[in-house]
Amino acid sequence: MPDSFDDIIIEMKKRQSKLPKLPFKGSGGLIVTAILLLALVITGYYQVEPNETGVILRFGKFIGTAASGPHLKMPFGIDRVYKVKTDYQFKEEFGFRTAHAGIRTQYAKGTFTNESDMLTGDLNIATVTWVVQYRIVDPKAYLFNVRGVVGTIRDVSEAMMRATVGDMSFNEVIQLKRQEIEVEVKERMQKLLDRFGCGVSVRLVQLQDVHPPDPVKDSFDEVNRARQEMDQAINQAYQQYNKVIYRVKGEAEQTVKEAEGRKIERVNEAKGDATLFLKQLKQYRKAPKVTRRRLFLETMRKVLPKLRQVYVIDENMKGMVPLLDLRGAGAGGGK
Amino acid sequence: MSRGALVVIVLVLALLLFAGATYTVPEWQQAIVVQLGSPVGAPVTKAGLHFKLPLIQKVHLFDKRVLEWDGDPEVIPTNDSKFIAVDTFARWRVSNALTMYKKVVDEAGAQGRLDDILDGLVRDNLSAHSLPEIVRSSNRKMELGEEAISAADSPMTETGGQRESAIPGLRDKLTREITEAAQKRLTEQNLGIQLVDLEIKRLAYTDKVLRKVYDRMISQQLRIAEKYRALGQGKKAEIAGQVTEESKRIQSEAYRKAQDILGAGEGEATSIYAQAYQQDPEFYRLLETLRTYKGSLDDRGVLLLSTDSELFRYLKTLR
Repeated sequence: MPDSFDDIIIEMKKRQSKLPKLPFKGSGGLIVTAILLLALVITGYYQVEPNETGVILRFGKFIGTAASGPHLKMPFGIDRVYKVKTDYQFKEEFGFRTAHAGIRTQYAKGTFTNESDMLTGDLNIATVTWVVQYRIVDPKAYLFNVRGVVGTIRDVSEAMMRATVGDMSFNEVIQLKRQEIEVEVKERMQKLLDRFGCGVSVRLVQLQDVHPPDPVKDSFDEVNRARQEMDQAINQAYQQYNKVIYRVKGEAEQTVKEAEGRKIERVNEAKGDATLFLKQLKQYRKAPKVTRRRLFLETMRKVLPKLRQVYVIDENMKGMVPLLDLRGAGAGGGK
Repeated sequence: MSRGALVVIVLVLALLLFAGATYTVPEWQQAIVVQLGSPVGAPVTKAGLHFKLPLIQKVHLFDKRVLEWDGDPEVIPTNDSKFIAVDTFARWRVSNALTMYKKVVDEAGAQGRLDDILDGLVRDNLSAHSLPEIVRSSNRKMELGEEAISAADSPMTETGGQRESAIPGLRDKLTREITEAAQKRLTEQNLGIQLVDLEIKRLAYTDKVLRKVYDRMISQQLRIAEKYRALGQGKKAEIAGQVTEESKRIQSEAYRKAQDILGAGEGEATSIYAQAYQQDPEFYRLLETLRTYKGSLDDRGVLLLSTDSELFRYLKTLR
């Protein structure tokens, strides 16, 4: 066996006389042959990537599909292979564009309000952005049934989103019915795309940022601010409530406790006084007269020295007679 | 002339002949064969290799796929005299390439005919209905939120004034009707093209109306904001009142309780005193009198004694 291409040529040259005569002579003929061979290889070989499916047409007629890997086909354009990414999730963006995806995804500048601003059922306007993800499930249908599949997906998605949003109130679109919208748009898109025979399956319709249009955004922020202010006012009031009520409760407790203390005090005093009285009484009864006098005089002894002046009034004289100063010559006395 | 050159010439000629006598139709296309300017035979819709007469027969290829049609946005007055910009799209296909070739020649011709038919139908159908009917597709009751942001009190609907639920949404029905009407008209005109579907892509207010709508939305939001602020202040006042009410109640209850307790103590003490003093009221009076003397007489006091008073007598004995 010849080892290389050069060898083949050498071999061919040697055997030229024996071989069936080529229609060309000399090196010119060889070059033509080589070009033909090269073209044969280039046009007869193809490779299908792992996430692709090859769709083979022979003279324009569909003859089958090819899985991933290297393949041979009829050369010189007799067979044509169209590779379709069947194992890939395609994504379309509405109302915004990713300029550069990454850890910090950058979004394209500029507005797509034409795409995103839509009429709601209560005749307001909401700005709705969303993404659609789809897969090609029938590569044959994808290639042969619809011209401009991506454009069709975009048109259909926009129409269905607007129809769905058009039957919802602004409030529902902005906050209440996001999921319902996604589900409905997905179903309606799939139905219409199937009617066209696009050969794609809608995997995901996901709302992104849904908000009031920019010109009215401030007023919506104003509502949020007002709501914050409301909460703040209520919190402040409750703060005051706590501050006052818990103190008052404690003070009330104090009042009651103090009263209880005073009650006990009063009762104990009474008991003490009573006991004292009874004990005195007991002794008093043993010698009432003497005790009476003693008590009286003891008291007087204590009281009289403190007094400034003592006057004695004689009933018969009908006048006031200064009594001898019982306290002696006290300060300020004798006047 | 060498033999080799002869072979080459023969080969080239054979190739040319083959090329002239065959044509391929890919899966997504169809062909009509035109002989000296007039079509021959039925359109070739089967994909693959086909034969024709070289030189005198020419092949025109038409698409077999579903094709685009994109309408120009047009401003349409609705029957409640509002102006909206409507953008539609449609999908159509060549149903008979031969007819189409005869009637409109090519795709551009077909698009032109579609423009005429579809734009007109869209305008006629939509202008016969009110804006809410066109926007909505059902009459389901919408949740308008706590503060209804509806168009009921907007400057846009002075003429209307219907409530939301009363409006039958017709959007889906209208697009279906327009599609059917267009299909019918295309069949009547027999252009060899068939409408697959028509949809309203966008409905939008015209700029002038848009500004009004924004103004309305803004004023409504400000109204809501004011409501929240007032609610907050109101609630604050209410709580302040509650504070006063509760603290007064707590304080007065405590006072009542305290008085109650003190009263009970007083009662108990009284009964204790009474019980003790009852034993000998005279002795009690004596003690109390003496205590009063002790307590009420001091260095500012002046004592007036009657000569016949008991104290005077005692004092005399003291002497």
